Amino acid sequence: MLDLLSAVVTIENPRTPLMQVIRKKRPEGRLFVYFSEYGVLVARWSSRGVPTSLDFARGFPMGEARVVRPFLEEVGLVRRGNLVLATCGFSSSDRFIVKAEFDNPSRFRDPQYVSDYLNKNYPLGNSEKQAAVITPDRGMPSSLGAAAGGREFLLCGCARKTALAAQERCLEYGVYPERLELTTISSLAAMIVHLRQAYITTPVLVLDVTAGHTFAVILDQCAIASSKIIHEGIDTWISRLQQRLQLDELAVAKRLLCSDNFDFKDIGPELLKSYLADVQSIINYYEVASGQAIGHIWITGIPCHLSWVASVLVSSFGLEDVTPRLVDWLESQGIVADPSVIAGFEGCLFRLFSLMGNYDEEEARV
Amino acid sequence: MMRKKQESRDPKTGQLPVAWHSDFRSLDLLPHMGIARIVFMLKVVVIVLPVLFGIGWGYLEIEAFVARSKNGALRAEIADRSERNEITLEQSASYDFAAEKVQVVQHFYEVPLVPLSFLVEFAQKRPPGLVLKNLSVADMGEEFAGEPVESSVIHLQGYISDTSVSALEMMDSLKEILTGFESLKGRVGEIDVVSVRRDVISKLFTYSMTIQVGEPQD
Repeated sequence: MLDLLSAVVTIENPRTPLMQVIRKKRPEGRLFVYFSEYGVLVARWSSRGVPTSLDFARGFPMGEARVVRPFLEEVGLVRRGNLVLATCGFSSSDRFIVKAEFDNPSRFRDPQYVSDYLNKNYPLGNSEKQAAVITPDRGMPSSLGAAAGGREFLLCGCARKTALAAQERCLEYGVYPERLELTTISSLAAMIVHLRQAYITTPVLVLDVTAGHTFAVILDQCAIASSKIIHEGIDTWISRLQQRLQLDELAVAKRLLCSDNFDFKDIGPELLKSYLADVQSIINYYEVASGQAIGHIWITGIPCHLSWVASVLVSSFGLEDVTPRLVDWLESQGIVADPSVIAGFEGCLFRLFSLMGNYDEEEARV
Repeated sequence: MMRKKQESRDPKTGQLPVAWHSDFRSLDLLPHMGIARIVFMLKVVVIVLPVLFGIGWGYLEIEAFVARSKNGALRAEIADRSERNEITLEQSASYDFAAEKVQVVQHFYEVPLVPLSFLVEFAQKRPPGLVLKNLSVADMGEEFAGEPVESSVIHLQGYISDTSVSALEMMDSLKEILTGFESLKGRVGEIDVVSVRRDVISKLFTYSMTIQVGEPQD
């Protein structure tokens, strides 16, 4: 699985003499680094703000800090000591997005209170949580003043130790994060932008898949309507494939699952049987509760070569896949990218590119 | 279709867009780079140092201007006063010259004794057979016998018509008589008999005596 991310696509070699001269004279541009569960993705703008163009996008397998760090030092434009400044994102199996209505909003300013509240009211485990409180419609951070009483908010985050580990990983790779985001949140915002542009008004099922869990979110009217955790992810399917094919080693099953050559057309639905049932129950529950039919589905977070999962899900539920074309999405954000930059691993890059979006005025502009 | 997009970082505040971009950094655990502080300090140094230098330079210029103004006034005053000073110096020189004359006259009158009173008292009290031939007075600071005297000295010279033994006794009695001289007002110090010798030709004894006269006692 890791090897799949080693595919390198560049449209401009940052080491060319011309680039070096330009960079020395006027160090402009912004660096984006996404630490996924499977690798590190790096992209850079040619200027500090939009409109801009994408200099390059590159992926590295996880655990190659000795390779990635020199590369980041090479392409980094702004330095903080011996670290390069970059907007960073990370993904995690223990992430969560829950809706909550506050009677005493000011108490939610205390991070410890938020953590205790989440552990007490939601099945998220007992670990200490780090959460951001944002508005469900525009994703803006709330001041949690007295006027916020009785209103609904989204609590987004993950275990605190996960966020700390992500920060440590940034430093390990020689990156000083000017911001460290949970890409589950930013990618949902990026999808909302796409839905608005595509005039999709029917509810959309978003499946954010990680190794251990799947986070199912329903977007309705370009807002988060519902969320639920499915305790099944890629590791589950690897284990199931090992049992199904009676393989001795888990690593073999892992390589097989990510293989391009293996046909999952027949075995795929069998591997995802219980997963499909969980997703089906979420769809049914929402449709009954809201009275609306879910018409679209978007699967995110899975490595590029697990595209068969999306195919199985789309065909099983008869839903339309709304995965956006990245070039178009970037263009809508004022970022010009050569199609060759992103060809081949669009699904992987969407989370990285979601870090680049400016969603502050999205509602007003669309 | 491409839409125009706003600047991703607000140019006014320098803040990144915040909607759906929650930050999960733990700032207290990030390494402190101190870049901002160094840049701030550099800016402060770049701005404050020239300002301080300018203020200091301005202050020195003002001080120099004031000093130059005072200098001109003082030069004019010096030129004015130097003329008067020359006149004053000439007057001072003439005063000094006159003062020397006055001092000489003053010394002349400030002899330690009134010679006439001394001679009258000497004539009355002298032992019989003792003749005074010469009386001289050396004032303090003047030379007597080649050396400067520390106090006024009266020098008596004369003859004694008697034997050698009697001449010596007469000298002793003269010492006692001189000690009680009223004309010397008790200022008699040491009385020395310089010499008593026989003159072969006149067969008389010649004597020489000095009387130290001290400062008047209050």
